[in-house]
Amino acid sequence: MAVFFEALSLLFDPFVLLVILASASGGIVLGAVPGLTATMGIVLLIPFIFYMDPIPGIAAIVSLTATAIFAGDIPGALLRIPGTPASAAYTDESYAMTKNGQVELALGISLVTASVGGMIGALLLLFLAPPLAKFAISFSSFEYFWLACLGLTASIIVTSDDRIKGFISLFIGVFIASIGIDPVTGMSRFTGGFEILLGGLGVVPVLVGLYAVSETIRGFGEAQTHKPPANFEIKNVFRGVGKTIFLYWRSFVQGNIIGSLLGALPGAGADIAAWIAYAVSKRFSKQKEKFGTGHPEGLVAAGASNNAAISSAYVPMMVFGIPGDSLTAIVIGIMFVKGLNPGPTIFLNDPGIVYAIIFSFFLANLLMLPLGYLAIRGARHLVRVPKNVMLPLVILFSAIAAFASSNMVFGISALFVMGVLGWIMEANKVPIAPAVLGMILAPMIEQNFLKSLMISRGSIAPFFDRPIAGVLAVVTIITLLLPLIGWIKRLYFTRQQNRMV
Amino acid sequence: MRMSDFVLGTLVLILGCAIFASASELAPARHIKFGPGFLPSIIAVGLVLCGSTLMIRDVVTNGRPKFSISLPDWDHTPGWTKKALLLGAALVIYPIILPIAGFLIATPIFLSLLLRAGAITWPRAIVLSTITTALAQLVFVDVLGVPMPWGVLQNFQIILTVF
Repeated sequence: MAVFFEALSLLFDPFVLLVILASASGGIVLGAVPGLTATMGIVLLIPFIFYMDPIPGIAAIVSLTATAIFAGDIPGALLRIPGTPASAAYTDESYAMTKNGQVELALGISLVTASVGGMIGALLLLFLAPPLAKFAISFSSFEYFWLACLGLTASIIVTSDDRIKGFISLFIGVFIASIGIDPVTGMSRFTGGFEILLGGLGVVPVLVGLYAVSETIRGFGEAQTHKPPANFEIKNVFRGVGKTIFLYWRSFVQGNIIGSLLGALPGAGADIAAWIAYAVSKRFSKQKEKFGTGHPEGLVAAGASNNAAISSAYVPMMVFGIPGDSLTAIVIGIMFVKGLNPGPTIFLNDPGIVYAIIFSFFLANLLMLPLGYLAIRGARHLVRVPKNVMLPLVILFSAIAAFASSNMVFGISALFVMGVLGWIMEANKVPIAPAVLGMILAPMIEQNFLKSLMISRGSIAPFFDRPIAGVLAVVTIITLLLPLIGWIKRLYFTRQQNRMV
Repeated sequence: MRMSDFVLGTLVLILGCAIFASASELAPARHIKFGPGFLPSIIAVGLVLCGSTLMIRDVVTNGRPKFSISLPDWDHTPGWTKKALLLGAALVIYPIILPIAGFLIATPIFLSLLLRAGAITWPRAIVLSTITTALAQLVFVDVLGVPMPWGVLQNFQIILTVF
């Protein structure tokens, strides 16, 4: 208890609070501008952090990350530009809600679930860090392989209509990910001899191209582009949010659990967590058919899991000194510079500082509510801009984002090619979401599969006889076979009915 | 661009075959069983199966293969040909002229073409695109430090940078 008070007294220092406020505000701006990322923001912060004490320095990173992840939902809902690969899981849903005139509800759900999800993740970090870390450390390449496969099956579940076209999209995404250098052997693949393709196409050009640029190409084709869109008023973003979250409380709880568990896995994180949370929510929903048409249930689950995963990513970092992602890798570096030793002894040697960092999560997620509200209110002017002016701006921002991600003009070319591909895909009812997830997860699948085979000397038995891997394998296979089982059942019952007639 | 399932299936099948052909040339290293061609080969087989299924499904549904390609949503809007040409020109030209002319020159041209595609008059398009470029330069290049190319204005970089 004394440690908690020590942590609070370290945190509630005027300078620390000012730093948290400034970083949280910066995070909102960075996250809301397509193409700018939390990692970029932290890199900009590093020169300042070097001159700060550990608490304000790390609290700055925590605050910026927490708010930036939520703020990426704003362009996702308004312009169909996902701020992060994780928010791509529900960009279509939130954009559909916006088109249905429910922009306030979509953004309100994103804001509140992000804030509450982040705080729940921080609670788990506070009380369950050691057991969560033990769970995380038990994952080896076998478990990561099946986890990535489970993530891919989630992409098929989120595809509402044609499963065959869903698989086509998935394979296209995996193919895009395989362009460049093979991660295991270092050989070049599908580059056609062009050196520029050795680095692959990049996540940002593909993601933003498939979603945003394809949408703008389609928007140019509409007749009435000179009028502002109707039904777009953003006044009270909190109206109806509490009722909606209460109505879909199961999805909310699922999202938090999935985000907290998967966020703790190094290298997995918010990307997979959001997609799986969305897919699980759809799978167990009583209104499956409404997903993809602007239904808030998926948004509730995935929005919560996104920010819960951010908090729990600090679990392996703090308990074992293992970075969960690029952000926590930077945090580890800063902790070493400040004389802290992330790992098992940090809870013994510097408990006050550790708990102050955890409490800064609560503060950042609380601050997200007023700051996020102001950001959404500011963004409302975006929706009043006539489409024929907004569409070119979206393409320009997307091009700048693509360039910024790779520092090469090739990123812009890749963006436009992906935009045209996304336009063609959607015109032929081939969903984009599986392609995005395939692209994100393909490297994880391939690396872990080949690594596992090397460990097991070519045997596939360990893929099934390790306890966690076995469970994940069974869940994945059943999930993949479910559509087939459903089809066989329907066929059987139809034949039974025909016989009775 | 909307296609019948038969045409789409054919394209997917061809893509799958091309990927398989390319992947089969990626031999594994001597010390490992599965090489860089392993995952692409699986994708290729998947694409071939999906493409074939689409083709068969189209034939079963329609009684015969349906060959159709059309422009959805575009071909009934007024001036769609001009719109498509302006949009296509903008997307092709921008990556080509950006490294040569630089962000400050290429972007107004790019934006003007796009704004014109949205039926905004040329004078308004030029003014809007110039203002937008200046703002984007200030925010992204000067404040946030995104190193957009300067092109022919490389020697004037110091004068044109605000911060």
